[in-house]
Amino acid sequence: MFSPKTGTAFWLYVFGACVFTVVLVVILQALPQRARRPLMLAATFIGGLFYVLEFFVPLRTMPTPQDPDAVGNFMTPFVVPVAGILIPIVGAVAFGLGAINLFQIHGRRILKKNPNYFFSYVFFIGFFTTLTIGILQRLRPNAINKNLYDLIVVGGYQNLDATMFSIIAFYITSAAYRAFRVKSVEATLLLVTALIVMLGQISLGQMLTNWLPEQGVGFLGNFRFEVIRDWILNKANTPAVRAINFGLGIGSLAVALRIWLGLERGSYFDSQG
Amino acid sequence: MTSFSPWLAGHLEMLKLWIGMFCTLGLFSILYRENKVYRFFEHLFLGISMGYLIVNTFTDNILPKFWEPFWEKGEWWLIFPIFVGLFYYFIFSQKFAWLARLVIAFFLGITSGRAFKAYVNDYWPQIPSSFKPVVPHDAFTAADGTQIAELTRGGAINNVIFMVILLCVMSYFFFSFEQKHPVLKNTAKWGRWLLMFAFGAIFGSTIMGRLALLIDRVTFLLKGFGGGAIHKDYGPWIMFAIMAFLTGMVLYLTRKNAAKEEAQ
Amino acid sequence: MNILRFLQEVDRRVLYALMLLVIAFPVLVPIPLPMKVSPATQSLYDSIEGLKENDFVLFGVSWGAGTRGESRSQTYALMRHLMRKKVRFALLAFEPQAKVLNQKIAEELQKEYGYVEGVNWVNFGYQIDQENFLQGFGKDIVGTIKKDIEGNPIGSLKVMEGVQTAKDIKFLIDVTGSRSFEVYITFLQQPFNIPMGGGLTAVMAPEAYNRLDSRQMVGLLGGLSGSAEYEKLLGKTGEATGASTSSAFAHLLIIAFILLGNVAMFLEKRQRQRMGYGEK
Repeated sequence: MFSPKTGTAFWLYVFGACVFTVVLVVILQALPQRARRPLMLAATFIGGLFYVLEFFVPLRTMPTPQDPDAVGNFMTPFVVPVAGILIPIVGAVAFGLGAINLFQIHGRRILKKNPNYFFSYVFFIGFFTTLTIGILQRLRPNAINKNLYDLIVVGGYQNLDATMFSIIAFYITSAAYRAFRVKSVEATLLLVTALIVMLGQISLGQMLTNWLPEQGVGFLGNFRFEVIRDWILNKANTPAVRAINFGLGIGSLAVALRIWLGLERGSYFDSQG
Repeated sequence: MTSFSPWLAGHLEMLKLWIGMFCTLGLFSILYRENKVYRFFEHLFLGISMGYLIVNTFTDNILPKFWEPFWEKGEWWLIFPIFVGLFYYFIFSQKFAWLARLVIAFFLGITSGRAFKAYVNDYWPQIPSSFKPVVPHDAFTAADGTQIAELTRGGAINNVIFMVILLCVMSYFFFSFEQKHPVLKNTAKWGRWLLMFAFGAIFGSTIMGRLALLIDRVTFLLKGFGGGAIHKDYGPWIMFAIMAFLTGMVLYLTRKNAAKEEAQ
Repeated sequence: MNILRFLQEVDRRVLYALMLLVIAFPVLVPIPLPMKVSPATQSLYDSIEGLKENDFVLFGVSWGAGTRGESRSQTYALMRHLMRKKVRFALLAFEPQAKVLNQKIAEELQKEYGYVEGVNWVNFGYQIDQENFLQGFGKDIVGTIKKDIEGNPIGSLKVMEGVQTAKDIKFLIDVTGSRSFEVYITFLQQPFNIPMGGGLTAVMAPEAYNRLDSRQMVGLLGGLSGSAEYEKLLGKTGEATGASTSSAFAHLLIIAFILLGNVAMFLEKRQRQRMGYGEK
């Protein structure tokens, strides 16, 4: 059944798939309200089972055309089609949700004539122009479509994107100046560490301690800014970040287990639709 | 229309520079204060980025993974993930919203199931590397043939410091029971202080990261636009003068507004 | 206004103006400054130096214009090194803009090193859902990618000869402005034991040092200074070397203002204590 079809067979199978989906929606909608939560829990469990089985079931040799030494279990043949192709297709289709959400927000602003609703028109013009020219340059890749798309993306989008993030540099300067006040032990430690790291990562800062011997030549060489910076990053920052990571890792594993087993409580998980 | 295409092709680079310059200065106008020019470019950015994302998702994912195999190879079953993806849109209907949540639940399950593999591959290698040798030794060859590098006294001290910081910070994040014992309490207190090393390093690095983005923009304005659109040699200096003038105007207006507020 | 209070409350626009000035000046008047190479950068360089001709490298490029200031110079430097070593590489993007930005870099550099797209390098284009995608990718590269950015079936390309699964990847690089390097580690580097290096933004770099220590990564470029160091190792001055002078001056400005604010705060506190006003 799951082999490529052509001609009438293809259309029959596609029609059958559509009918199957419609019937499924009708059946699901006809289910009583109290059956919805168990069904959602079952869907969560079955979804999780895919990767759990693939990971935990013992492996055996399973040569493939691509890799004669491959190992796997009974789930391995499904990884490429499901994880590599089907799930990304689902994700790609779902991207439209973000666009619809923005349409709702800006559409409402225009319809209600909120203050500055003119800018919502700007949003729609930008979106539809990019979408139209983007699709055209792919389906009809002539010079004018490609050049217009290049103009919008390289001239407009990339510069806007880069500038939006670069503004943060000004804000971080202002914030560092205003908020970085040494009023506690922690603040002092933070400030001293930050200053050493900053001086160690720039050439002018490294020049300040150039007069000290090279690292490894004498003990004083360990007090060069770049050497202290490397020490802070490797021996002080790394264990702290690792400790945070361990906490995050255990926490996320616990949450994942609770979600997979349907133990998680909260407004989303408890709602029956 | 026939003359527009060659004109566009001939002036494309120049147009890109001018549009880029207006976009950059338009967004930079927020540095003075909130204004309509900034809002215009902000909304334009939002629209273009959304459109760009949809276009690329379509051309790089839907077309090669679904459209072409479906129509050209007859892989009819690819219609099913399309339907599953379309189920997400039921969220906009009050009556059918739960079907969208059914699909979300399924994919939440997939993500949760993947967490076991992720945990093992991501965090497990970090555990053995946290146990570091603390006794100085010369270089030697282990029983299995692995070359073990020399550990100096300095290296051993560094390893002790590493493990002390790791344990102290881990104890700071330990919330399973109340930390009443003085040992646990003090290590947690030290952990909070030692965390400042990480935060200081992150802050110092973040400064460099953000400055790099600004340097890229300034380089574009001076060399890219100034050198490309105004004049090859003197363009950067002309652009610098224009930016200096605009900056001076901003400072003057700021001073004027401050004086007006003080007078009031 | 009291001078000490004034020094603690300089208008932010004055700061912005000074910041623009100290960054713009070195752009107009290049001032070459010496740079020391950090061990993390040296380690990445040495690892790529150890690659043999015709080895296949997966070059992850998940950065957009938002992190262009750091990521572009890193990509230039690393791609140049790969081409110098005559290794094959494939670009893989999980960020929509990345495929075009990096295609341009590769097309520019290929002229210098005699590389040909499809023969020595290929662009796999933009993919979504990195976590799920990499699982399929690791087991069957051709079956998951299908076509390159030009629409050519990748199985027919010379660059993909002998490359079927992730086991055939000799080195993995990820230049990114996001956490994609962690996903690479989880689903590609660890399961297939592929040596991995990274070009990360300075914001992410401190967290990635953890991966260096656990040998999940063999080296990394941290931000703009990382790229400048790598350019020094390659002996080829690029945009990072020039930008690092601006970065140095800007850093000093920020340090000066932080110190100024704190010194003024302390002096004012002492003044108030002497005048009997107590804490503010």
